[in-house]
Amino acid sequence: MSEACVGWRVRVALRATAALAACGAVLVAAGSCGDDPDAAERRSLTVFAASSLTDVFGDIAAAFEAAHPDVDVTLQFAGSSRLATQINAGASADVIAAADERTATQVDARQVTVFARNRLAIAVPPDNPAGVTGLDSLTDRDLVLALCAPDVPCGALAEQVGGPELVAAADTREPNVRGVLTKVLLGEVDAGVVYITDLTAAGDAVTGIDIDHPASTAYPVALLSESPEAADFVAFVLSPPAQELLAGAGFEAP
Amino acid sequence: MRQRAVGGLWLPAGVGLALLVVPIIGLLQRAPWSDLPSLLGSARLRDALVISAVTSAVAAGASVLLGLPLALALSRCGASLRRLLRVAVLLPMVLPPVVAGTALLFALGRRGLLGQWLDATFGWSLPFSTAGVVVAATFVAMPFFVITAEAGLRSADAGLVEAARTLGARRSVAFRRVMLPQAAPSLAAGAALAWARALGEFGATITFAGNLRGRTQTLPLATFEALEAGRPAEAVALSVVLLAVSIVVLVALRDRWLTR
Repeated sequence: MSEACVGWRVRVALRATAALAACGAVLVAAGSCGDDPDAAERRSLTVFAASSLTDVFGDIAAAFEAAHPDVDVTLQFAGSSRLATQINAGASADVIAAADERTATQVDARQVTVFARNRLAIAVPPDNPAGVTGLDSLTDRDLVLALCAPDVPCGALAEQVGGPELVAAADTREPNVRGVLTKVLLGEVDAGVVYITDLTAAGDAVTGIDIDHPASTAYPVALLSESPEAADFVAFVLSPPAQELLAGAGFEAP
Repeated sequence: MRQRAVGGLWLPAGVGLALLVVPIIGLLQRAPWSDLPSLLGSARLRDALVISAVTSAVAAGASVLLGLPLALALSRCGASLRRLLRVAVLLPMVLPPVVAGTALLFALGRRGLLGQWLDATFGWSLPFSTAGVVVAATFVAMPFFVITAEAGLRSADAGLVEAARTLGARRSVAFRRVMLPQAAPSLAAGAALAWARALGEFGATITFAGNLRGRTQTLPLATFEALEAGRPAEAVALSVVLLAVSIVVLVALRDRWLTR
């Protein structure tokens, strides 16, 4: 009785697995050839980009795909130092767009070209609970402050702008700039040092306060592979349509 | 027939075993053995060691103090209530740690459900504090103690407790002198498991408690930061420490897992 029962269960399981496999095959077929008969000829391009480029590179990739219908762009965002670590560990990427020039020197990249610049600003929750007025008020001991980790560009730039006093006042060092922005959005910190462009991206959800300091970081884009699409993409980032998108997001011209 | 079935199992079993063992070998062959003492002696890693040692010990202690009454309640209450309690206790165990951290943020963060009251009433703010690290670690570690302890308490001989009571022992004495010694191996195993889980905690910690050297940066967080920052030797050194601790826990629990 019990053996028969087990046998029956196994058969059901096998049948269910077969059905699932068939489903999967149908899905794969639908996905790859459903909407585009030239699917087999589509080429893919992987772009590793700094966290601060999250929104604008989505737009740039969409514009690039519109101009090159046969190319699929895959974007991966992380702190620049992490991108370099992943590339050096063998991650396959065709293009890197980092938030400082140092990162581009840490990987085996060619045709390194600066395509934008960015400055820091202070982000506070809309009600500004700690009454932040500028860089000087961030060193107040009672204020909860988020900075980027020391090894990502926004963290290094914050140290350059605010000096050791600012670094000592930090309550958390987030792995990337969007982590800092999130902590401000949630109201868990009184202030975070982010890029001006992150303020644009966050809209009314945070209030921005200027930092009166000339330091800025340069964003280099570089080739990691020989693929012609990669060269096309880099050329596109430097072209007027992409530069307009960057300017709209608050980036400065190189 | 039997022979054939076993033969067919060798391949998947071997692949499974390789998947578990090869990463450990990969880690060990990259370990900078000769530089290990100087790497571990660096101020940054020492800070992380101290934070991890303190927070994991406190979290394990809190798991025992708060988890033992919970395990007792679980072992004594009716079946339907127990099922409900078990879900509540097991959920943090199966929850992705980053979800745990997000949940903690919305419950105990400055603007969280309980957190805003704690902040307004006592001026306590848990995120970005060492206490926050302990809370995150306890959240993920306590279930390991509760479940292990409950099993031990339930398998303890209730008849012996009953006998002690009829011989005039007070309830508390019967529990302390008869029940606890019987469940002691389970309680110790549960505490060790909870401590190991607290020591390894990463996702909930970085989400809820942030990452600041000397305050909230634990060994796993320091490992992550070292790897991100392109200091792989440091990351491997820290990983070897955590691996050694894991092996010690396994050896301590050998009666439970290795000899049955």
